[in-house]
Amino acid sequence: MRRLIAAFAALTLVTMASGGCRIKKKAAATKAAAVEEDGELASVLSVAEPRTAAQLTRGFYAVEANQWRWTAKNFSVALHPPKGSAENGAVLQLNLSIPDVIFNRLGPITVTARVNGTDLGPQTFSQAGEAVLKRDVPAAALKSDVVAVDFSLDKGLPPTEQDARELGIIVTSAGLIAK
Amino acid sequence: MTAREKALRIAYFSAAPLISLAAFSQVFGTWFQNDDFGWLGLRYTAAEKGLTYALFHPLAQGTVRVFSERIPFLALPAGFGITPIPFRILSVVTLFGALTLTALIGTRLTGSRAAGLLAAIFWGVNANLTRPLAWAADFNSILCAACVLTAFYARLRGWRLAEWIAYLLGFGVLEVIVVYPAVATLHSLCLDRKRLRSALPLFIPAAIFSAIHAFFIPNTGGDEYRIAIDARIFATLFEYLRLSTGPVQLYQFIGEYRRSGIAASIAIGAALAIFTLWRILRRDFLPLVCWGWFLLFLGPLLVLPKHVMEYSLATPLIGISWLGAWGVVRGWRANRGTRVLAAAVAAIYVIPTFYEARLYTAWWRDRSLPLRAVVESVRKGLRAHPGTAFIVQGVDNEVFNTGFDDNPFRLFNAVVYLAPGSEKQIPLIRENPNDQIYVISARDAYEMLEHGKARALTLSGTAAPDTTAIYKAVLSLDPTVTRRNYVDVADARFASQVGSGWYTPEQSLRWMGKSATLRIGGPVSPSEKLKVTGYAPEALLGGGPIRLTFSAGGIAIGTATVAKPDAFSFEFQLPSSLAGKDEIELKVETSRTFHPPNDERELGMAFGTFAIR
Repeated sequence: MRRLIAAFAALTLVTMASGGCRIKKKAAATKAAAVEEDGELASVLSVAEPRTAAQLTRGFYAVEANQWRWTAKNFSVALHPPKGSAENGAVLQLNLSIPDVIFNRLGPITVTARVNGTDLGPQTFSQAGEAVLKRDVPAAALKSDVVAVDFSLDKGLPPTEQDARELGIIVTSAGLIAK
Repeated sequence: MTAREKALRIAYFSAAPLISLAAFSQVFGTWFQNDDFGWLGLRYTAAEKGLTYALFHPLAQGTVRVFSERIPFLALPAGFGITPIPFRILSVVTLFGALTLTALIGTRLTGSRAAGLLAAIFWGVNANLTRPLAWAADFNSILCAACVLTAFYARLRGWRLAEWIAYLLGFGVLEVIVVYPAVATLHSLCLDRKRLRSALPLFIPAAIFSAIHAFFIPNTGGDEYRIAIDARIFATLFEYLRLSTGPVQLYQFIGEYRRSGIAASIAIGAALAIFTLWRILRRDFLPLVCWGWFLLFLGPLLVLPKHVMEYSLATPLIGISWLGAWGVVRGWRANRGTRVLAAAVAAIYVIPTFYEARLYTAWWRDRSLPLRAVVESVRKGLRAHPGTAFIVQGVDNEVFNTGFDDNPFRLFNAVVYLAPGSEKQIPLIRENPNDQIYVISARDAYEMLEHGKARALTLSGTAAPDTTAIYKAVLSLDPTVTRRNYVDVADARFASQVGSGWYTPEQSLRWMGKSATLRIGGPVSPSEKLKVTGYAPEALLGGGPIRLTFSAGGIAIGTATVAKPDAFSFEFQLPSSLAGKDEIELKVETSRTFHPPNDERELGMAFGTFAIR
């Protein structure tokens, strides 16, 4: 009977060791919340950065892997125009990724961007993977302290029983870059 | 006892608690969720209505769980503040006690110390213990198991007084204790006839308790707790059996090995069934006691087909654990072939179940962290900016569902609104319109931020930093910030919109006289309605129902009758001619007023909020 107990102890130790190894604590995910005084409106924002998350005004889902977010078919951000852009204009840049799961079902995706209502024209992404949307923004659209940037996709995955979200693309950052 | 024997004894009794602790170690990082916030507010109930009310008045589906809910939620926050650690320590220490008793009882029932230890390990790693250990509101499941085990162990030892004390305490822990006399009787019938007479008096408290519950305490649990005695009992039993046999659940966390999990669970179930038949054919009725334990403690839950909760298995699973452990030991002892089989069955139960317990606990912990971020940020923000309200952005359905609607913020007297547009991210708010109260309009949010009456917090992951300046700038982009579609007449922040005919606000309500007015932003479209909430106290309705007449912009929009002394809410269609108006005047008039004793006021009706949405 002692052999049974010994065998079981060994089995349990193996189980505990494997369980402990597989489940890594996500230090970043469990970091304590802290309240500090608020910052300033950003021109370029990482969608995973809590401090600028207020600028993700529409169509973004929860941050994942502390790096990126899924979007809906239509999504928006609010950005602070960079210095000198009211005179020279700026470049709108969206770092995105089209996952295979989306591309295989929807095919090429066209993204249209508007800044304060000014249409910047569409850009089509014809393959899965990481990509960058870049559009020139005229100075006339950047005269205020904060501008609304609206993105819309020509297609998206509708909600399913498994996932109640309408899914568009994955975004890591968005911003206005001075010319 | 030699030093070696002492060391072996310590190792024996600490093995199951240590293994269980390894499986559930992450419970210590788990924060409060959902019902916890209601119970954490119990001390305010005690302050308002007295300690006796807080301890003994039926609450939450008509339950009176003095020892498992009332006392812990009154005492621990009073002693340690709003922190979950004392609750977790209490749960884990109670579990350790229960595991020790499981081993002791298992040893007595089977005559094998190895079986006792194995039973404690089998039970102690079962993932169904996650919520009882990691959710303070479900501590009752673990404490109930401890009470039942204490009573049963005392019974086996012949300690009648101890059995009665543990059994009677159980009535203040969880209602399922009423089943204990049946379990004790079954044990006596199957294994120990001479104790049968001592089991029968145990039915008296159970009958009294059941009668009190049936006739004097209304079931306020709604549809989910509706009793159904029909064929669904079998479906519910099957669901609980499925939840009990560990590996089948693992795929929910890892997204694969579903078929392997089902096969493993079927193998475990088959092994238990074969062992049960084999022992009964040999006139060993211990398996009947084990199955009886499982089925009897599960029995009251089988008639609740819409309330299948895995935490309900905490006590019933102990019976299966004894049976499984006894089967493994018998298999080990029989011959080489059965030894391998027994070890294999034990392994395919313990390894996935332990792993599932780790994953489930981690999921449960991670689920609690975003709300913790918001609540902690509100608490710290309130210290830095006393008296301000908070507007929270970034709350989605999942976070909302972890307890936002249980209003944890009232624990700090904080006023918290969800940011405008939150309802689009949170279907739960749309499903329960009463929760609309939390969503502030863009205009009101902007104005409160502009005048320093609120701070903005943005939840992202597990952080909720103060983003007031950024959010204010973002809000300025919203054309609806010029619209004021919500008035809380009792809230001083809306004073500029409150017109004539109102008395001074009282807590969350404000009395009006015969008639009263207020100003509110007109509907954006003809589909928007006026939504009104208020409260009618009993004294007001002494002379019969009261009729309220509403008009908007000088146009009569409808009447409503208040007949019951309770909170009320009404909705009115608005004339299309008011759509698009920046501001309209609302007027309310009552059919009758009331003079309370020692009060010179002429009271018409008490209102809370007016909204056009």
